[in-house]
Amino acid sequence: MEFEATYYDGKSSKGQKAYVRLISKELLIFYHIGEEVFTIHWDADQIKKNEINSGGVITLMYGQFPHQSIEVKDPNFFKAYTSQYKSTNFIAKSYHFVISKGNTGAIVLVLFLIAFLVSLYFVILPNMAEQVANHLLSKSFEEELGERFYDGFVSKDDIDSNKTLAVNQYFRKLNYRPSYNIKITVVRKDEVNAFALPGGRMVIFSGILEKLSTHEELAALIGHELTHIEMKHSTKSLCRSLSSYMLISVIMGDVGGVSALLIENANMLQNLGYSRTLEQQADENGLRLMLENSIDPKGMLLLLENLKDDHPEENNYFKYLQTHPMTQNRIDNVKRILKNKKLKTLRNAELEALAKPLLVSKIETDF
Amino acid sequence: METNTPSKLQFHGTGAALFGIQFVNILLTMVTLGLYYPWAKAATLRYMYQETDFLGTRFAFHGTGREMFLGFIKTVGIIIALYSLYFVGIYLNNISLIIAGTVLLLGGLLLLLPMIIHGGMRYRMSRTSWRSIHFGYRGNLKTLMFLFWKNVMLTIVTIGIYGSWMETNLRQYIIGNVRFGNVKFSYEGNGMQLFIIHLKGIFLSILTLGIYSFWYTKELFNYYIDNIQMEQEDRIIKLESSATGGGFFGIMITNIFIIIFTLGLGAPWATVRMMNYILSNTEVGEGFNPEILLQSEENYTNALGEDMMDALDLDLV
Repeated sequence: MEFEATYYDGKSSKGQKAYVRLISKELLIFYHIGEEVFTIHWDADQIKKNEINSGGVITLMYGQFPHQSIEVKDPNFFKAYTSQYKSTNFIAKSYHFVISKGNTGAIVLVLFLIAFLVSLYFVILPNMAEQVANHLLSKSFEEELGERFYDGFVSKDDIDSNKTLAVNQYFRKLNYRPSYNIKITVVRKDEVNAFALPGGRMVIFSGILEKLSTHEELAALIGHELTHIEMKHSTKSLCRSLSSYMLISVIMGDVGGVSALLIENANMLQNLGYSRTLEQQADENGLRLMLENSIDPKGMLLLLENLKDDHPEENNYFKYLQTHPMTQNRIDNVKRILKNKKLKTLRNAELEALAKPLLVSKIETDF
Repeated sequence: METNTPSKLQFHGTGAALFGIQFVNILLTMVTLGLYYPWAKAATLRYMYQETDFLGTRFAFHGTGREMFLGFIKTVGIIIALYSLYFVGIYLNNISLIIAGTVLLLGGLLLLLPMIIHGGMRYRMSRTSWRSIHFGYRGNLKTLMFLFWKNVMLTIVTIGIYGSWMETNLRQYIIGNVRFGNVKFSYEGNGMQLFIIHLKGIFLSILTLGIYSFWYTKELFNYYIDNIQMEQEDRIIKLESSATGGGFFGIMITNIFIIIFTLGLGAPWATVRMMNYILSNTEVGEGFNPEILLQSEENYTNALGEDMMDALDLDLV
């Protein structure tokens, strides 16, 4: 095989019109000046490697500084050259494989990259974060996290120590068998809410207690919050937000601005979806705890109805945009579960008595 | 044979290929926890050079990942050393240590900068060739150091006004010591003209809410290019730029859109478009004889300056 080429000897920039012949282990270059014919031998192993063949002109360089070189414009040369001297690894395979497909290759790569990032963001990282929360973070770490938050925020609130004592006594009688050291605090605040911290702390606002009239509702509330703690919901959420935040900052690096804003919003949507799942889980497991302890699970329904009264039913359009799942959906879910259950509930005088100072008597509130 | 018309540079690279290269680069850099970086850089530079065409011949970049890896390791060491006192100060929460650390960091960088420029230029020029003829940088480190510090001092004393003169003096020295085989480069700009371009550019950019900045970019670019000359035998060959403000405006605005709407994935396409615009608007004036360049520069393979420039995000060329 012979190809037309231009040869440069490395001493001057004067190019010689030349012919290149590929024979085994050697590349021969012929050119003539006047009548005189010159033959240059290139040992195939000594030809400089190149990461990338970009098509068009192929330039080969040879030997030590100052290098000789040839330029070949023949489109068939690259193929002939690489198949003749397979063992020289002239081209870096990784780059060649990726860029030899041109635009199609780039599009495939872009799509692949997007698919990878999307699955990393929505599937892989959240699952990894959950695994970390489940297996790698110790209970003592969770406790420390919870205590930090408690010291920082709750401990400065107006704590109702009598009710705190009563609710803890009630909890101990419940026999929910927690694996964490559960400490419940009642805070004087009108907000109808309660929350659980990682590691065993639970905070109940007096606002929600004032809505409860039966001890079963309190048992439901505690069961719900206990599930958040036992299933490490806060720790998992924290790990998930941290991991996706880190991914975003790595990707966004210096692109900033508009795209960061887009992703930030996607992040919020994802977290909201996640918190809906967690609330549902807490309802269901809370219900299971009640059933196991023969407490009337209707308490859960009553509790949710109370919450619903406090958050008058929201606009359906925003179903996916609320921090808390719509209470009606949760009520329906609980009803659906209870429908197929055979209820065997007992009145529990001891629990009733313990809960009494915490609840509002029906007659009083009816005034 | 000397050219009797100006000859343009041309860029043949494609966004798709550059994307592919950077894709592999990022992948391998991640897998090797960053150690692949010098090889990645070599691959990108090699690609950009070999797609740059002058009179039908491509440029070549001879630098290797191995050479740049050695510089990379040293660079990491130097950067850690420069930052060490500062971080110890932060760790111990000791204000006087933090101040001493900052002085060490800034002073150290100022001290090192001329060495970095010197080494970077020697490496980059030596590793660039066309038709097997290598470029070279013949500057003297001591001369550059004194020139640099003297100009930095004057710039500080004049609260920055002298900056344009400093830039011109450094360019004159650095470009004046660039060789392309036996062709000598020189830079003809002067500080006053550059100062006026900067003054006008900043003033009008503010006045037009940034719109003039594209014309400011053009003015600067054209001023730098138009003042570069090559001396071959006894002929003076001028470099000329035909870039326009409207051209820069079009390329830069569309590039910003490309980058934003592809969440950064389109950056290689933006780079290629910019290279295309800049190179196709740069031409070598008439009188250049491409046949009579002689190899005259020595080989230089120490990439420390190149790597330090990269670490500090400096770009001379």
